[in-house]
Amino acid sequence: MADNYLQEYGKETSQEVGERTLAYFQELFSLEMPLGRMMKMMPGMVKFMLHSKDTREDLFSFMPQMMPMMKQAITGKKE
Amino acid sequence: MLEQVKDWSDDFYERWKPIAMGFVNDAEKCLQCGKCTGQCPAAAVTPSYNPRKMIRDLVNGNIKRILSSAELWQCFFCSGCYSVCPMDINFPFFVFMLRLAAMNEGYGWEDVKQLEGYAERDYLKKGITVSTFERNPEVIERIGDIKKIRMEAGLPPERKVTDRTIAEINMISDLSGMTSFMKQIGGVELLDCQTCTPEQEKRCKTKPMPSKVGKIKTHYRFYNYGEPGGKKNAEAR
Amino acid sequence: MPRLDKVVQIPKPKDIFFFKSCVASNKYPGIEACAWESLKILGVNPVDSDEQTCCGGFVTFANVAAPTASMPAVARNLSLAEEKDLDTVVLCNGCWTFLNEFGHFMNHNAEVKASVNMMMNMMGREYKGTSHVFHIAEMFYRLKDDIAKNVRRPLTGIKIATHYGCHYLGGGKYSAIDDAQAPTYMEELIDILGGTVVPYTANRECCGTGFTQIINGKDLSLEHTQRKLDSVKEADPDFLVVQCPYCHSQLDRVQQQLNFRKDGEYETPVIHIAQLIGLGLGVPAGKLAFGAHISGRKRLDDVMKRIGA
Repeated sequence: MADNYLQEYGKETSQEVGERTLAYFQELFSLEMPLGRMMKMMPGMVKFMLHSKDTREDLFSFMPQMMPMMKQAITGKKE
Repeated sequence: MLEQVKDWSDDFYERWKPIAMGFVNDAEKCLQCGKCTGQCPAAAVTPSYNPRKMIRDLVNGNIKRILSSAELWQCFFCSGCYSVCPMDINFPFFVFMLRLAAMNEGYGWEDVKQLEGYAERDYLKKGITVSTFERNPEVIERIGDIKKIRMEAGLPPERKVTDRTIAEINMISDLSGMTSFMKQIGGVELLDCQTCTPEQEKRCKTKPMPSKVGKIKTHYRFYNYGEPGGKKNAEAR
Repeated sequence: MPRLDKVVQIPKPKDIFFFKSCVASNKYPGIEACAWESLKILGVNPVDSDEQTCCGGFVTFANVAAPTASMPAVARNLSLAEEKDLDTVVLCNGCWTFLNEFGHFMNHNAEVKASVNMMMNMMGREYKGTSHVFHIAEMFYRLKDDIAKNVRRPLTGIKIATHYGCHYLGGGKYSAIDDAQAPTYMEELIDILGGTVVPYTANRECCGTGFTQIINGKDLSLEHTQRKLDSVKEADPDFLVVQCPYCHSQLDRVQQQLNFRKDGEYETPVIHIAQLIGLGLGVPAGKLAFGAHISGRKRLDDVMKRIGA
């Protein structure tokens, strides 16, 4: 185990660490909805739908709003 | 090897500045006056905790030192620094964001794992993050049944949260990636002082770092800003 | 000195959405019951809801929930108040800061708000950002004239020390009703109730909970709280009044933990401002729920006898 943080990081510069951090934050705060992200959301939405009649109704009434988003996610093109 | 104050390029810095709601822009305004550290409750107990130095590193480019430090995890979030800062720098917000960045590098998961139980067991199952569970036998003896106390106060014996609400917050957790994040950490495994074995007790005192928390490889954090204090209650659990 | 220009901006509402605190509901129900009752006596009708959850502050600052997870939770809680067209009153410094900070952020970032509203729409809800969040202490200060008219149990001769906590005055650098370094509004309320204010040196120190330090960095947390408690003990008040259930829990429980480890004899009762106001306004003793308190029980009973409760 390293004695101090410089040994731990070795030859890596703060810029390299910074690039990783930058990428992490860009992904975390991105408002884009790529297909992968949308797919990951599916199980949660299905679980919600299966909860009760009124959750099903609420989610169904949301569907029209979701169509353009799904289209954008699948085709990768913004309208 | 020599510690570099700044080992990143200027054009990287331009890309770095607007991250996470642009907090680095604010950090640049720091006068290094030290008012924050002067009134900090954590700094009063452990001298190595130093907000002024951390902001300096953030702006100068020594991000390695902040993210691998143990000090980053010692902030009390009191916002006292923000309230005395002449430049209105919201330092607790920095700590919050930098902790996320540190976790991305593999630091601090041991701490987060201890707290994950509150989200998994209490918040996502009952909608309330603090449960009526008491661990301390003296406390249990003194207060008895909290349900009775609630009823005497004219409240229902248990705070009611509708099933539909639980479904909603679980959906929020699923959709925003919180559930999968919690799964990565590997669920809850809180040790109980009541059922402590001599081996666990020894480990508890010296706080050895697990090399993995769930599926995540963790790193040892260093005291990068000075000599740590606060050892008076070091055996506290 | 309270900032009077901020105070007058607080409305005197007819109805208000009552946002419950996790710690108060499950550990110190007296805070909830007294706050409810006191608001009613002062002419404000609190409105409850079974659909509200924890504000999400704890899991967020514990880094278990990223901001992308907690913003929808905040939006959801506030949308409950908006549905009924009401402002919100909270009992806790943490809730106040968290709901306000994230609420303001969403109001100033249309893209983020739209993204959060997408999730809200899936549940049949909508977040508009119109419900203002007030702290019960600032609400009480706004209603201080009504308090003065309704005192039923003057706290004559009762020595009271104050602890404002960190998040309301610190986080509310520009939006709280008083100055972070030398606040006096709780002292004014104590005067109105007939009590005697007792100063002590560590009065603006943090309670020491440190959000998650009490779990992750317990050694630091306890040392800091002990310093605070030593200073309070020196001043020897009958009550230490706080305005945050988290501070309440820390200052109440750590005394017992320190006593157990033979680090001193700490017996100062800690009560929340809602319980203090309730006590003064004459709410029934059961609502104070002093049975849930751990430290200074004998002294609490003593005080109750002295004021005839």
